[in-house]
Amino acid sequence: MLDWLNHFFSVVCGQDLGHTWAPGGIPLPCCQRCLGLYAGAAVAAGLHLWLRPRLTGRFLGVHGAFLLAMAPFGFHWAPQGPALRTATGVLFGFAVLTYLWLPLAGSYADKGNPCSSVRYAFGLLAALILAPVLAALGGKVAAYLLSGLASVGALALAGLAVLNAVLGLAILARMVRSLGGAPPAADTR
Amino acid sequence: MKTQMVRNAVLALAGLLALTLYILACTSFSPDDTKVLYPTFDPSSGAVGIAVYDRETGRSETLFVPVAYEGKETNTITPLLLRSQWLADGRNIVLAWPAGDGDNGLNLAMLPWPARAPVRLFSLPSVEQPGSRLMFPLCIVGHRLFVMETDSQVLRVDLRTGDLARHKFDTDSGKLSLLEAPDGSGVLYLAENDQSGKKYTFGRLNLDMLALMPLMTFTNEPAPGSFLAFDGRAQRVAFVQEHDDQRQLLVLEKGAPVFTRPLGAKGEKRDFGSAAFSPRGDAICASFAHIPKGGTNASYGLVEIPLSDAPVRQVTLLSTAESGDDANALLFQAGISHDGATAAAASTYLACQIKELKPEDCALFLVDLKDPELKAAKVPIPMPPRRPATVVK
Repeated sequence: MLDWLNHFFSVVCGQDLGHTWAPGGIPLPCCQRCLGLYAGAAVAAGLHLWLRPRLTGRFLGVHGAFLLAMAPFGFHWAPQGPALRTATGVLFGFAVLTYLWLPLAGSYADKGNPCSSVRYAFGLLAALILAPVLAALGGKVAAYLLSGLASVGALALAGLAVLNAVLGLAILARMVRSLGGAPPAADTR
Repeated sequence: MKTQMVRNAVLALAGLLALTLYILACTSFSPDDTKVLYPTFDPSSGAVGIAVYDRETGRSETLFVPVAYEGKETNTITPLLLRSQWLADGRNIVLAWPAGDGDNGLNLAMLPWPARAPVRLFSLPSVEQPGSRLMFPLCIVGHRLFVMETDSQVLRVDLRTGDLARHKFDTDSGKLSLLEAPDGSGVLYLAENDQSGKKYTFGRLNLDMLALMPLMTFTNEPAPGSFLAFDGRAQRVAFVQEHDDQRQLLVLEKGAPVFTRPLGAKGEKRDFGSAAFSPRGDAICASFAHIPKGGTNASYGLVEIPLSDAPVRQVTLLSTAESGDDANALLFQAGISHDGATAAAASTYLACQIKELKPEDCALFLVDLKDPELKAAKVPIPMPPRRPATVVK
């Protein structure tokens, strides 16, 4: 299975082995940061589906900060080790998934349970801690678990990207139609 | 409602854009390939030390010089075989060299660089035949170093705490050599067993349990002067074998047909120093030494052997007059950058071994593997004054 996943992730990840976790001696199919991104996205997808947190301005603002935090770390401006690389990936994964989820969230975006945000934050904290800890200290089971989680996250992001593209095209088509206006009235002169 | 829809669309677009940028950046990001560690000569003592070459500034800096003497009664400095390697964090360098008279014992140093932090020195007196253990790159994963203490006992050293762990394997396992998986992602091993005909087992070492996890077994005999290379996922093993008085490359993969490719003409002898699979796994890049049949001059260089019918590319970096039939291929080993774009090899040890080596050939060679002609850049390594001057007065 891991061979297939290696092939799958080679499309989206540099798979630098020097920056790849190898729990139980098994190198994961994506680098440390991508592991954070995709596993984080999987956890975020689960939390959004389960808890339905209210997507308030502050909630989105915090996720915007997560998104921007990738710049100093992704461009290697800030010193970082394997755990921090994974953690910044997790934050980025949460942010991207939330933003892609937003247009599809429908009415619950504003009517979600306010208490859910606290539980969502705990979920995020757990992902931030568990992803690097499992990758560093886990055995073979952790390798398969993390690879599976990253695959789910990658599929979730891909699915959301496609759905957003379809939604965007539909809106665009509607706008074009409305710009065309009503058909001209018949000349009765 | 309309404003909210626009906001959502903008944020979704921002998310999509960020993800796209991230993916595009990740496939082209290389780990920090800007610096190269290489053996050099200390201008003051003439001893072999380790220097770091910054490819961006074009500057070299000597980092470490262990000084050892040839015997108890002399003050002649002996050139030490030094191995140097970056830790995966890119902030520490590990150095290893034989301790004492070279029969037993290995010294290790962990050198923080460029930041200031304590230098850690380790003395491992029980490591047998340290010179042969240093023929291959050090096996370091995270902050743990793995080395064979004897042919059947592995030693794990925690470079932060100094904790040691040992494990002795059954004699049935045969003579074991540890090999670093590409980019420090794990430790591989090769076991040589003579019990019922010569047999080799290639596998992965469980880093926590120090247990052997065999991946494949083969009976093909690597030729003298062959390299041993394996791909990033340890699925393929490549080496050179002798077949019908001709050397050929052999690539073994479990469950796949054996790939072979002749290397040179019949009777032609070519030895190899080190080799690695290209990051794509479609070629092998190796350093070589070649003495033409009946000749005395050896040429040293780099060769790229595609694992297909594509032509072999090679570049000769220096030529020397050798005293015997055997070239010193093992003294000319190359390292490949993580992005697979550059190979680096230094002729420092050749300068120690071959007295006739011209000063201009003592250099760190950086070969551009993306260039069709394998263009090489040369960073001179100043040679110390000859033997008499290496004596410390």
